Amino acid sequence: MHRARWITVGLLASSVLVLAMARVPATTASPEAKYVGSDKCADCHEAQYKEWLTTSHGRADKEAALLGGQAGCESCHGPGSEHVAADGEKSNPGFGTLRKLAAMPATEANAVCSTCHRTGEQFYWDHSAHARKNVACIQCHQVHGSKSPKGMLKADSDSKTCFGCHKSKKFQTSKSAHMPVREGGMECTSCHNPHGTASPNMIRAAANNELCENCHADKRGPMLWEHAPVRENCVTCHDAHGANNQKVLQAKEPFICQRCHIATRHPSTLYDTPDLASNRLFNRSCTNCHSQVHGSNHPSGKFFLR
Amino acid sequence: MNARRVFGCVAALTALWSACAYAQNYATFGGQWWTQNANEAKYQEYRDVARGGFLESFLVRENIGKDAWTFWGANALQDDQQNHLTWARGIAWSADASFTQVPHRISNVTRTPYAEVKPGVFILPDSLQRLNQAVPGNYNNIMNDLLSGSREFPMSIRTDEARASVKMRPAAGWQFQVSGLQRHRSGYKPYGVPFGFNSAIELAEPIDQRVMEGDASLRFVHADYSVQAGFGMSDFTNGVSTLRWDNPKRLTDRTSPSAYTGGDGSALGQMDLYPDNQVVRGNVAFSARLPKATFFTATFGMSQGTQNDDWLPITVNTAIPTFRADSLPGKGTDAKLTRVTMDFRLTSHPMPKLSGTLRFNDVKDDNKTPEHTFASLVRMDQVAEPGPYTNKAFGHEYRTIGVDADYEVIPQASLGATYEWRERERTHREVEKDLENVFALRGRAMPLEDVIVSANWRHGNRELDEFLSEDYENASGVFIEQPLLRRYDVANRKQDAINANAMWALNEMVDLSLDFTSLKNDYPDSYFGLGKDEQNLVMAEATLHPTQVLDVSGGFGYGTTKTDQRSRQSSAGTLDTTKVNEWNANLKDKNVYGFAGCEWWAVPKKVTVSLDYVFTRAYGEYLLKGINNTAQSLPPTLYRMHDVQVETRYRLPKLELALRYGFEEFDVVDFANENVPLLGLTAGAATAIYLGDGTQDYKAHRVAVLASKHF
Repeated sequence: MHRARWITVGLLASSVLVLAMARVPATTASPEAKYVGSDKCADCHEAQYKEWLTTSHGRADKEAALLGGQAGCESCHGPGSEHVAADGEKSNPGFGTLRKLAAMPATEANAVCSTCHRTGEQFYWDHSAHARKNVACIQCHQVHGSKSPKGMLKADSDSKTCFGCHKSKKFQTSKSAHMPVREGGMECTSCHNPHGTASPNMIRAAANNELCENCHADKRGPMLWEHAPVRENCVTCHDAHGANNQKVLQAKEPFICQRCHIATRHPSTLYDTPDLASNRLFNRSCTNCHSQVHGSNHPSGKFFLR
Repeated sequence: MNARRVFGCVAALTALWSACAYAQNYATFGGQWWTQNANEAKYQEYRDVARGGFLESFLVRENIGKDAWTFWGANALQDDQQNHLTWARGIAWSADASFTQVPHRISNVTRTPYAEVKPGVFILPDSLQRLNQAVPGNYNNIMNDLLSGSREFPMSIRTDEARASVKMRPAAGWQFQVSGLQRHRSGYKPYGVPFGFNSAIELAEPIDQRVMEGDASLRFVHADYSVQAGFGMSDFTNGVSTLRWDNPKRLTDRTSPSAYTGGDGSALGQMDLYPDNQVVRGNVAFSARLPKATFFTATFGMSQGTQNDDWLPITVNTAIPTFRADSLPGKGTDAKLTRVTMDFRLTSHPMPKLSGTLRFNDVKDDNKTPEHTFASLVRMDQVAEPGPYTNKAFGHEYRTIGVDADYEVIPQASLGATYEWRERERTHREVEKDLENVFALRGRAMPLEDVIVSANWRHGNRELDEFLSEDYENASGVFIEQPLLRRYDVANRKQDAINANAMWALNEMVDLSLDFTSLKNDYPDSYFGLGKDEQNLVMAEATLHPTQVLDVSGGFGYGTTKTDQRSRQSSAGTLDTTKVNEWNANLKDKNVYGFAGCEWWAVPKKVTVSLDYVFTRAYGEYLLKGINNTAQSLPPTLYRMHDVQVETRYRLPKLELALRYGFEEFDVVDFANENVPLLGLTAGAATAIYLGDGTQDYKAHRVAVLASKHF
């Protein structure tokens, strides 16, 4: 394994080196065009300008120094002098010199957004599954206004935005056992960062367990007696997006437990003439007794009974 | 409670009205009447249904000079309230604060004979214990009388979460952020606290858990690179860390004569609940922009979790005097787990139509919890079982190397492929190392201007390195687990996943979409355990805008899950080697999800009538068979819900008035969770005491009058 790791690291390092040596300047707008300022834009696009002023983009207009570059409408649309000079004449070649993000390929449009949004939530965007699949920022976000109180989304909540494409997940949250996503107590973005992370499935933690334990810190341990699959991965038993079984279990108890535990003393006759009132089948089934299934810190808790 | 809500709503509205006018500001408030035919609430488990006056939602945005304020929320002063406040001064400073509550209503009909004299300590009358001990044959009658007269109380937990963060940009390229969180979970939830396997008891476990977190991060962005570093701490405190409860069968301790099945040994039970724990964490990440739209990112993270709660005694059964607290090998677990993560990613577009990513991810959980050896243990405080017993510190490491490549064949079509090499190592398991090779293909096309079709296929082949059978054996080398069992989280596995999607914007009036997903897992070398599982889902959605005054939308989804598992169980203390005792279970779930909605402008620009309907149905089958046809199938289960809402809304320039009617119906058929009794009869004369928190059918009607004021 160590060999494979070093091969990968070596590949990464050499790729970085080769590309760094071949570094060329990024392309820029035509040199003739000049920046004219957002106030000029407001002369014709008053309504859009007023709405935009209420957004974080509008607030950034006065903070060009902090952004270390251009702010305002032209930070996205490019220098506007030729567009202004066209004076509204669409036939004038200068009229169409502004960038229209909606008409650009996703990668190019996203590069415009990435000029400012490169850290924090968006730090991993360029490597994300959404970027790879050519999802444009403006498919989810509005630039001039916002339908959501936060995040400048096109829908009024994070989850509605996600469900626009991820329909199977919408289906799963409709199941009888689910987390409070459809009630608004959680959002998809409580667990996932749609802009990408350094972890699989764009989760907001290094590992599945770390993510779950953010809210379920009681199960964080480490415990004296640990249940090996619990320590390794919560989703071995639970389906976080929704299930038909209590506690979002992937199968009903006792079947979920019996996938791994055959052993002794658990009656072979459980299903011969099913005693539906038996506490092996009824109510919480195995966890009627093994209630410390997530681990125990009791000296007698080896079998998760105490 | 209602008076408090009404007062709160009025106060909130007054505050909102006094805010300066902005076109998007609004508050929706009103009153609601609600009735339901059974006092149960499965589909309302995360909601607080408003009764009487309520403030449904509000939004206030205000810009004063460089300061921008946004205050918004929902369900004010209810148990599911959400309140958010943000402030920003230009982009140099911003701050967020929020307070949210999420209820989890478990049951409204729970009953318990126990009295909680202080948090976590539950008692029964001594006279009851004395009577049951003296005349065990009358136990059922006595307990039935007691339980039927016991108090009924609603069982629920609620999570209150307060968050705050401040972000500042002190200079070009620099960002600094601090954030804090307090999450408090309180209430009661059902918990199994047995004295014997035939004598299960449920208690209303008191929950008083608090998490405090603080994080700080510093970021620097340059045109060619960016760096960020973060540091944080998390502290979990359990306000009720121990449960103590009386045994209804015994007033005095003794060693149970029937091993641990009868539950008539100790007079008292004691259980250790989740221990306090702490986590300290930090991470550093570096990202560089290189030519040809190439990006390189390196991330390194580390965290350490610790836990050292004091141990409880091995038992509270005084008839087992050998095992006192001073017989323990220490005072606490002194548990420590270090997690180290590394991630490197290189994404490039070497040619205009070609992009690719090379990535490496490593997560290592190094469990440094020391081994502790216990001479004996006492199961359920009944009978001492000589050991020795030694804990194991489970740890693992996951490594993934992946390559992704995507190529735009023509402007309307692209193809992509992924290869992943996944290696997992772990300690103290029957499989300490496995390797999975994953191949994936994907395609996306726009055959027509408004049609997008995409499909993904993924195949994974996971193979274990070596199966260590000694993990299934006891100290004498005798198998205590079936040697042909392969646990599915570490078994050889072949996995196939397909996702296909089509979206068609037919014209300005019609949008259609179709989605299909399939996941198949095959465990070819697992004779016992999970053999196969398969999930399929198809979902279609449509939105129609047939006229200027009518919008219609709807969707339908159908999903199935099938699993196949095999077992051979034994009631004896030795492993069953008899093939005829094997049984096989096919579990099948069929799910239906449908929704429909329409909005009709009955009077253009004035009056709308809207309808929303949601239907879900989950049907489960549990088909069993044995070699001798002795294993019998279990009854099927069904969960079904209809939810309808009709609303008519009258719109004035700055005011909307609405009348809303809703109906929901919930049906359940579930042998395990429907109408749970208070006293459960099991094999023989043994008994179980439940809380009666089962799921029930119900129908509910609600009528609400609402006003939305825009200001």
